[in-house]
Amino acid sequence: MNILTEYTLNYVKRNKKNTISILVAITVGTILLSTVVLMSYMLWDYELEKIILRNGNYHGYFNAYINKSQIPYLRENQKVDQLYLMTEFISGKINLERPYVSISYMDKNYLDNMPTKNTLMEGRLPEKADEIVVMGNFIKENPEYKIGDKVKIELGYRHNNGVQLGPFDLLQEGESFTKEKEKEYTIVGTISGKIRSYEPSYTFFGFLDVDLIEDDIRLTPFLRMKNPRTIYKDLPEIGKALGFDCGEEVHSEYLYKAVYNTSYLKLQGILPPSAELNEIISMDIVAFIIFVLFAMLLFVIIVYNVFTVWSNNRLKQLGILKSVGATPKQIRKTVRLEAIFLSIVPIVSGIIIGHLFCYFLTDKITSVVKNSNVDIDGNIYKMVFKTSPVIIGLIIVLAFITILLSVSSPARRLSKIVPIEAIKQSGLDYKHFKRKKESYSSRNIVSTLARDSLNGNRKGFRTTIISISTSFIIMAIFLTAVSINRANRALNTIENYYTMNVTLYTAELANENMIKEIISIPKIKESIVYKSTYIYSKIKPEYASDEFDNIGGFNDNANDYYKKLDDGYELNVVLMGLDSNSFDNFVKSQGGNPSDYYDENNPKAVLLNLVKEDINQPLARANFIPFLDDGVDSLSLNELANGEGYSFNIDIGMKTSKKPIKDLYLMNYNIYLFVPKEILNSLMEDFDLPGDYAHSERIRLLVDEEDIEEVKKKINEINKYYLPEEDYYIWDILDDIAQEEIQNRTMYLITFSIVFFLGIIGVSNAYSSINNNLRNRRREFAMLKSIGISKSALKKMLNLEGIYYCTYPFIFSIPLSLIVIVIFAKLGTVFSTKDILLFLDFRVIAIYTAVIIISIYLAYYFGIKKVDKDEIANVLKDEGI
Amino acid sequence: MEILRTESLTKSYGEGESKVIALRDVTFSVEKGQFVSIVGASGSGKSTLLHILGGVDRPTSGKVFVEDREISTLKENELALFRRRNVGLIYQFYNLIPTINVKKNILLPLLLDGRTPDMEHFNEIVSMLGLENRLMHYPGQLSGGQQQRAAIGRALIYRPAIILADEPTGNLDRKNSNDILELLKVSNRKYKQTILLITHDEKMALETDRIITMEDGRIISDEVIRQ
Repeated sequence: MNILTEYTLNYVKRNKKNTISILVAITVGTILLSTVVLMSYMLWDYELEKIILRNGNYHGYFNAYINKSQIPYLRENQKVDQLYLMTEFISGKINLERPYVSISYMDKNYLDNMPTKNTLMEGRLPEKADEIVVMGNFIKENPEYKIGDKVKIELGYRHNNGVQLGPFDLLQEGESFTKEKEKEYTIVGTISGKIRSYEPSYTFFGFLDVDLIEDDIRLTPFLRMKNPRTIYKDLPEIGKALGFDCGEEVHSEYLYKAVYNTSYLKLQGILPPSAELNEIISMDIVAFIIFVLFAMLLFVIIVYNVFTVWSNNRLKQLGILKSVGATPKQIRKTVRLEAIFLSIVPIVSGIIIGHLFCYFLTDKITSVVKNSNVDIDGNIYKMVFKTSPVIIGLIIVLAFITILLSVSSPARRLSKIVPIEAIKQSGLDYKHFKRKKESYSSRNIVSTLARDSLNGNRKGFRTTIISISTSFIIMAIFLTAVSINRANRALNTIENYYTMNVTLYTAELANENMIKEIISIPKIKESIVYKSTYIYSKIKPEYASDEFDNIGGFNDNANDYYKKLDDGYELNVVLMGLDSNSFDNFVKSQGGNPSDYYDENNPKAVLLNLVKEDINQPLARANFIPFLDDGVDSLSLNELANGEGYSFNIDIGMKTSKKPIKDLYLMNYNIYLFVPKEILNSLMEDFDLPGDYAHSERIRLLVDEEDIEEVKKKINEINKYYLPEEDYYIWDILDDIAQEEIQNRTMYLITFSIVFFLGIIGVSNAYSSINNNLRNRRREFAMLKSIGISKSALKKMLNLEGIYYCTYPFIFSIPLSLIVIVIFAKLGTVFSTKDILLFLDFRVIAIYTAVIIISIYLAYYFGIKKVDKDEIANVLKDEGI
Repeated sequence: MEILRTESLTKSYGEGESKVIALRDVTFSVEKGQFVSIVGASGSGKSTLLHILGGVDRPTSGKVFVEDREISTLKENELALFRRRNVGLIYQFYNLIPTINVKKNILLPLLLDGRTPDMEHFNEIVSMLGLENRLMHYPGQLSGGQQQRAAIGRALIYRPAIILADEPTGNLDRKNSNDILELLKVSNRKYKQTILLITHDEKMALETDRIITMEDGRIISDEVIRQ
């Protein structure tokens, strides 16, 4: 074995006791790194699973059909790993609640790998050509059918006046159906899926047996490639070979009808050649890299400090090696070798403990969520613990890189030191020794000795102070973010008046009977029904009220809220239609005449004339002033931005500062207009592009908390007669409370974990460096004892040092943390420094500080005990000290 | 033939009020094969001079030539090789590596070079030092005299041009001191090595060929006793 390797190994073996602080430091650092990498991996994996569940695991497909004769080409293609096939939808006549079915056939590969299998509610997927699965509403609407029954379908096509209609086209007056063949299928299962009440067909899926299909049937091929990394080149080539039209896409990867499972590919780092820089370096990747680098930085801080102390302990030996002829490179090598030898066991333990920690953390989070029965947003609440050999390998590599980085500076420093200085080393930093003109009196000799010792050992303790301060500041940053989140919830969230909200998603006008039934449920104390449409208005600068003008009025600078035009501004308008009862009551309460607002030919609205005086104020402190001038009595409105779409004028019947919907959240610089719902409906009849959910309505209900569940049950009972489950959503305040509770508990779990890690870093650094320093000064203490210093005086001297080390890190870190808070406040604009401090969790800071102080105290306590026990003569003679 | 020469060698520590000048403008030379002792009171600059000659410390100003090569301006790597191959340093407190055995301590300069040791030469040195039965021991298991012998072995193994011994007997009893001096003399006569020895012992100094006396960082006398 090489002499240096042997020397390093022997040294490590013989100094096992002293290596404990390094082992702890590396273990803690590896736990940190493992946690960051594992959590990122689990989040990534969860995203991947989500995408596969949603889209399937294909890589690409073609937005064009192939026929049976082209299947062998794809199956035999060298670049294609797997082929999934789905036929076009074919119309069928069924004459049940709805007249038609739309049926598509899928082969085994498709059924095994695509999202259809995840929608299975009952039974199984089809395995033979005469088996089908049906959407759940088919059974609901036609209860005479159940799984196992046979159903006859006439397959053919719909048409009207010689024009063929698609299977999903809405019913047309005068349309007819031409039957081509009849088939009987066995229902083997039901699947979930959204279907609107106005759609004329049920959706069925059958089994595709390629050998049995007709030659002219059209199929969509979904491909999994052997090497997906080249898919953006290969897929268009395959499309070309299949004879698809080239198309006019700008980017070559989209030619020949090629379409990609982009999200799935992106998560595997496969991006199209035309991807923008912000896609290649997406925020997720940037966030991941930042977190890993951050964890590595903390790791470096932990290991650097303990390693510096550790290396200083053998400065003399390294000096001897240098004097005998070891080159700087050889010195660096021995220091690095030592780091590697020392790292093996702690890296392994750190990875194991890191894994265990992540397992318990995810388990705890998911059990908290499960017990609350709330469907909460956020991937972190749904992650499942997972690891892989690649991840473990990555952690090992990163850990070793970090350790080598940490020791590179001490290694370089040691390699450059002059040999004789190293051999004679006293550990004192004379360069920075302050010369003081003072007299030593018997009264202050102990405190003077303490101060001089601190002066001389300044450099040695600097890294400890830096690392404790850094940990404190990192904790402060984290707690500041938590505080802002809490401030936001407390100060910037609108206080709910209504405790329940029913949202009806509908493309056509909602059923008024259903709404009437809902609001008539006993236990509902108050209700309001409304729908909103988002349109635009051109505003002239002089429309601004005096109060609004006084604070600057409309601004020519670009902003997120409105657009500057040549002769004015384009503002967003929220046009809200209230149920007539609520509208009438509101207008009357404002001294108006409701009947003025029901003329469809001359629409009139109530203007909620409010704007926030300062948009940087949180809601709790926001002051609202009049938005538009009193003289504004009409607004011109456009359905779409840039003056496009249907345009109309609306008179303003009255201006009010009172909200018709008590807990309505007002978006900045939006104009709010209120009309009766029927007037809004008549206006929307003329809209060009009303949109899919244009007629969606909201029913807000005031219900006592104890009655919420009962009312919810009744609403569900009413709705099932009018709407499929997917077409409405019920929110209640209890959900928010439960969600907030989960978020709080998760936040505390995470806060605790981070502060715990930072605490361990601070404690281990403080303890090891103080311990080492005291050990190295045993001779000095023995000398002091030999000249007559009393036990209590020595103890007092060391206690004074301890007090210094307890306070010094916080003298730096507290003001720096305050600066961090101020920066956050300035960047955020909504919450002031005072707000952030108000919501800061000082308990955590106090606990962390206490733990550091206790560890410093304990280091000195045990150090003093050891110094007490030392025999003066033995210590003075010992060349090893 | 001149093997070592210094020109206006100066070494100072600190600045301002706390500045200490350990060597002031020292100029002297040594012939090959000479056995030179350097004497003087504590703080006269003897050890500082020796350390600079051995390449384990750098002068503040001035030049040092060893075998016509200026070592005062060598780069760190070159200086390391110089220390390894061209000079042997013996310290008062032995300065062996405690975690490797005596054999490896002696062979250390060769092993750092990655060279295969000439075992005949090694055995000769070990025999001369009387350490045959101690090769597998660790420094902590040896007496002071034995440790110093091992240190001498390390200094001799590469057959360096110069041996620099900084009070090698300062920590030893009379008998061991005499033995060490004898070993140095043998090394001087047999291997024609140039030796510079710092000592407080007048009697020991008189056993050498030339006595250089230092005081206050300067050479105040330079007496050749034997040719």
